[in-house]
Amino acid sequence: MSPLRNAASLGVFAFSLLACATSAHPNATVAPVASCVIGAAPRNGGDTLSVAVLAPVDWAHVPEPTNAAERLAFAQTYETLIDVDCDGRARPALAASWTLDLTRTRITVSLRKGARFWSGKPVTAGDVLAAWRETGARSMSSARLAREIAGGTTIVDDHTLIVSLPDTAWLVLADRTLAIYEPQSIAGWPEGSGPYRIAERSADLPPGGFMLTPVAPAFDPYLVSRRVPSGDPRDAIDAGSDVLVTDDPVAVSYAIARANLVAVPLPWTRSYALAVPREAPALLQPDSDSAALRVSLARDAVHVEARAAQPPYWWDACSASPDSLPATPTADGRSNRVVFRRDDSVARALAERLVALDPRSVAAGLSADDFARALRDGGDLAYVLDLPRVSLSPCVNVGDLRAAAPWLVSGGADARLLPLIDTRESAIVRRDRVSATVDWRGTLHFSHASSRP
Amino acid sequence: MSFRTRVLLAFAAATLLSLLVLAVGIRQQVTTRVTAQHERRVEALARVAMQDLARENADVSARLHSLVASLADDNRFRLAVQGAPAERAFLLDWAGGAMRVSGLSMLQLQDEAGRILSSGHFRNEYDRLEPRLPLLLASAADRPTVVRVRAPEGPMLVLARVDSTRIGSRALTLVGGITIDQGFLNRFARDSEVTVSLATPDGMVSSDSTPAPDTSLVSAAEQLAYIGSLGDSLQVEPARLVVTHTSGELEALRRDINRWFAVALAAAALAGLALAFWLSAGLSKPLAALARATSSISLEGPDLEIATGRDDEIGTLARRFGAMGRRLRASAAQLLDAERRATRGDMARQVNHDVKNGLIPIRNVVQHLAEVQERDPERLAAVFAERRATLESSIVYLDTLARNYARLTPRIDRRAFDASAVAREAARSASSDGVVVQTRIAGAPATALGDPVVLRRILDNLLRNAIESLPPSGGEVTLEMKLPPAGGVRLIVADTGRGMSDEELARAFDDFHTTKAGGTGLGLSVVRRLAADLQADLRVESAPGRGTTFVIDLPPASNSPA
Repeated sequence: MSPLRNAASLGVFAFSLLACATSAHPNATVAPVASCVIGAAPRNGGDTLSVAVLAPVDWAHVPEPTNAAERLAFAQTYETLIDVDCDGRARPALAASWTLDLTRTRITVSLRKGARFWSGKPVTAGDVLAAWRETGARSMSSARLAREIAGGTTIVDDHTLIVSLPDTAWLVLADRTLAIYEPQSIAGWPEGSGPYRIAERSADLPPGGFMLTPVAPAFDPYLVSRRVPSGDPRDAIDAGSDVLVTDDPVAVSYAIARANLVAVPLPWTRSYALAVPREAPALLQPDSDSAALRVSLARDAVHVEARAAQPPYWWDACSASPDSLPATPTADGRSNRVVFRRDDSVARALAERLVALDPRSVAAGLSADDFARALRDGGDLAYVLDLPRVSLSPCVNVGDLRAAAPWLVSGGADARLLPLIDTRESAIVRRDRVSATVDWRGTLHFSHASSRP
Repeated sequence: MSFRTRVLLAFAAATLLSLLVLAVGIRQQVTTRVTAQHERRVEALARVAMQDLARENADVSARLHSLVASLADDNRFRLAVQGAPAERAFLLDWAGGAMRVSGLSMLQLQDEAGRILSSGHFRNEYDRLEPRLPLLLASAADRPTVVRVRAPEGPMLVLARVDSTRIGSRALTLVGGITIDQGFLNRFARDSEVTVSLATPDGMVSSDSTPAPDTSLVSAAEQLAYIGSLGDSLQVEPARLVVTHTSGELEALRRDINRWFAVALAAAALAGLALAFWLSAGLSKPLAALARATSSISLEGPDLEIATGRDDEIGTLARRFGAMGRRLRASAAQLLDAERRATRGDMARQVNHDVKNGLIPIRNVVQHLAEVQERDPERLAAVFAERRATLESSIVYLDTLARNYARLTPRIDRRAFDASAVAREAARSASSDGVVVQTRIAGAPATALGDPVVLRRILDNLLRNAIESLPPSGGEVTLEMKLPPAGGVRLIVADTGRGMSDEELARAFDDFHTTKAGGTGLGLSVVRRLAADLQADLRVESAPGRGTTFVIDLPPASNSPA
């Protein structure tokens, strides 16, 4: 996952959430909003759902997922204080209620009574702070947010804590980086407090697979996740998987042709943008041609469901003045490369199309580390970035962006971030067996036992 | 330098020179033939590479033709090229799938305007216009043509062909090819020593990433067509497929040949040296034995048989040496006998000579007394008294001479004596012959070691010879005595007579050699023997018309035995 993706794994409609973010009732069981529900199956406690994943799950990555499979698995097992549904509404999670002060930068949070880790140990405010500190001590770029939040947290009692926020974007508490876990676990993976726990017999599954046991089996199904060895989502469909999330339009077409499956488009969660250290290519100047180009890119260049990037863009929403940031010049010299991460097929397709339109340039696919290094130096013609479509805290994400590409924020008037396309995934589910909700990240939640978005 | 060494060197030189010439000649021949064979092999490899290229070119054509043939029945493709929006994605991806299926690494589908409808190697290059490329490829016919095409991550070289088809109302062209990269060219190389390179105006790609060394053999260069520039200025330029062969293997073979020839030469040289040593030793050993035997041959000793037991030339030589030795011994015995007889006569002549020398002063004194008696008898007594010493001296001389001869072998009475007195008496005695002998003798005694009688005999002989050598017109005879710083006494008898030639001088001390009519030829030979008896050094200097000088160095008295 790219530094930017690590740094800005958030994505929610922050601008639309501010209006409704006031307080929540701790005991309310919020019914899923209709637009955020997938499948029409009755609540199927005790059933077992087969969930196909295309990437391995490494529990050592808790709390921050590095791929779609970990995102799905961690969402079931580790809670944040609050959740945000696919429509941008805040929902109680580990926090039963919260109150913002007048500045909207201090929030008093009350934990859910009866919240326990899988071991049975109650979750206290101290555990919350300890988890944030643990995450903040890691070397990952997104640890900065956890450190900042932990540094501004005051414990009132075992169930209450006050958090000082970087800005008024308090929904940042839904960031997966701030998920709560108990690091000191003897189970082989961190203990969580979510509606699912990792089953001991997960070890018996094939490599990459895992099994999640519902905390409330009367309400929720068991989840067995199997990795698709071939990497082709259609193989998972043929193998009878109940749930599959993919961005492969071929697989979606294949699923649509099956009577018992339904393909549900998930929210637009990713944006691809072109980071240009100096003068932007003429083709991408903000005029009607560039708009046509974006449409063309979304329609013809990529193999995922895409659309031309649509404003507003969160990186324009942060009010931080560039003058307050230290100037960081780009590297001397400039190559003719349009650089992308080689493991990102969408970024590759975009880069190749841009190169096709500019005879002087070439495309260069780099490893994650090399890409991060090249982006930081800013010595290339342009960089294809994979960014979250929306942000829970634009200024936090801009800060991460600044850390990844210092020249992009303060490098001068010619340094620009040009949005290209938005992409989304689709959930392919067996219509008579699955009932799930979708959060702001497009992640499915299978638990109905508690208040879920 | 010994004979053995010379023989050894001669054998060694002959052996080494022959071996060297042989080795150099064989090495040259082997190297030439190996090089020629190597070059023929490289040429064969080059021909194979060219044939491979032609086969690959034909293979590309066949694959394109197969693709074109399959399009006729593809209704989805027909819809796509007719512009059905739902099939646009299919059309964009078609070239990629077809390229993979057909095993090509470059494929692009173009419409009648040259617009790229689908590209396999550069999927997102769609809609770009490139009308000249199909035309240029078509003009190249079957000639292998290399095209520099764009790929996302940079240009690549492709062995390309073109084919065309018509789908409904649309005329389509397919440009396809296979990448010419290191791996592609490496398949042509077929040998680790062979490098196949494609040289284009834009650069070179080679089957070997390391540059060919300067010693590489360029065996062939095939002219190809090259469509290099991208964009509207596409044009055909020449390119070359160059097959080179590094000479490493050949050089290694040459090194091996040289090494083994050097080893063989060294071994042969060692063997030759050993053989030469053995032969020289075999030749020189009997010769050395013969030399040793020869050195021990004594004319007086017993017969020495030089027996080699050999039947070869050395044995014959040894036997002949033995026979010669026996003959020499017989001749020496005869010669010794003759010498004994001659020595007796010589002794008689010497006695006669010495007696005459003793009688001559007496005869002169008697004649003088007779003349005085006739002319002035009154002075007879006075003259007698005056000449009495001469008479007595001559009588003493004759008496001593008689005693010496009585002992047959003269005995040398070696003692310290005053040589100056002997010299003055000899000069005075000689002067009585009418020739005045000039003397340069110091008054002080000059002591020397020896026998005064023997010295007197030496000086008498030398002074008489000097006087007799003077011409009738007269001349000068001097007797000089010197005392060298190193000790001893030096006596010099010099005359202004006729002198001697070098030949005469060389034989002056030989027995019986004389230049005077009636001479015995014993005077100087006696002087030589007497000087040797006195252990005195005797030397002579003379030249015709410039007189003769004899120098006698007597040993000092300090050399006398204690």
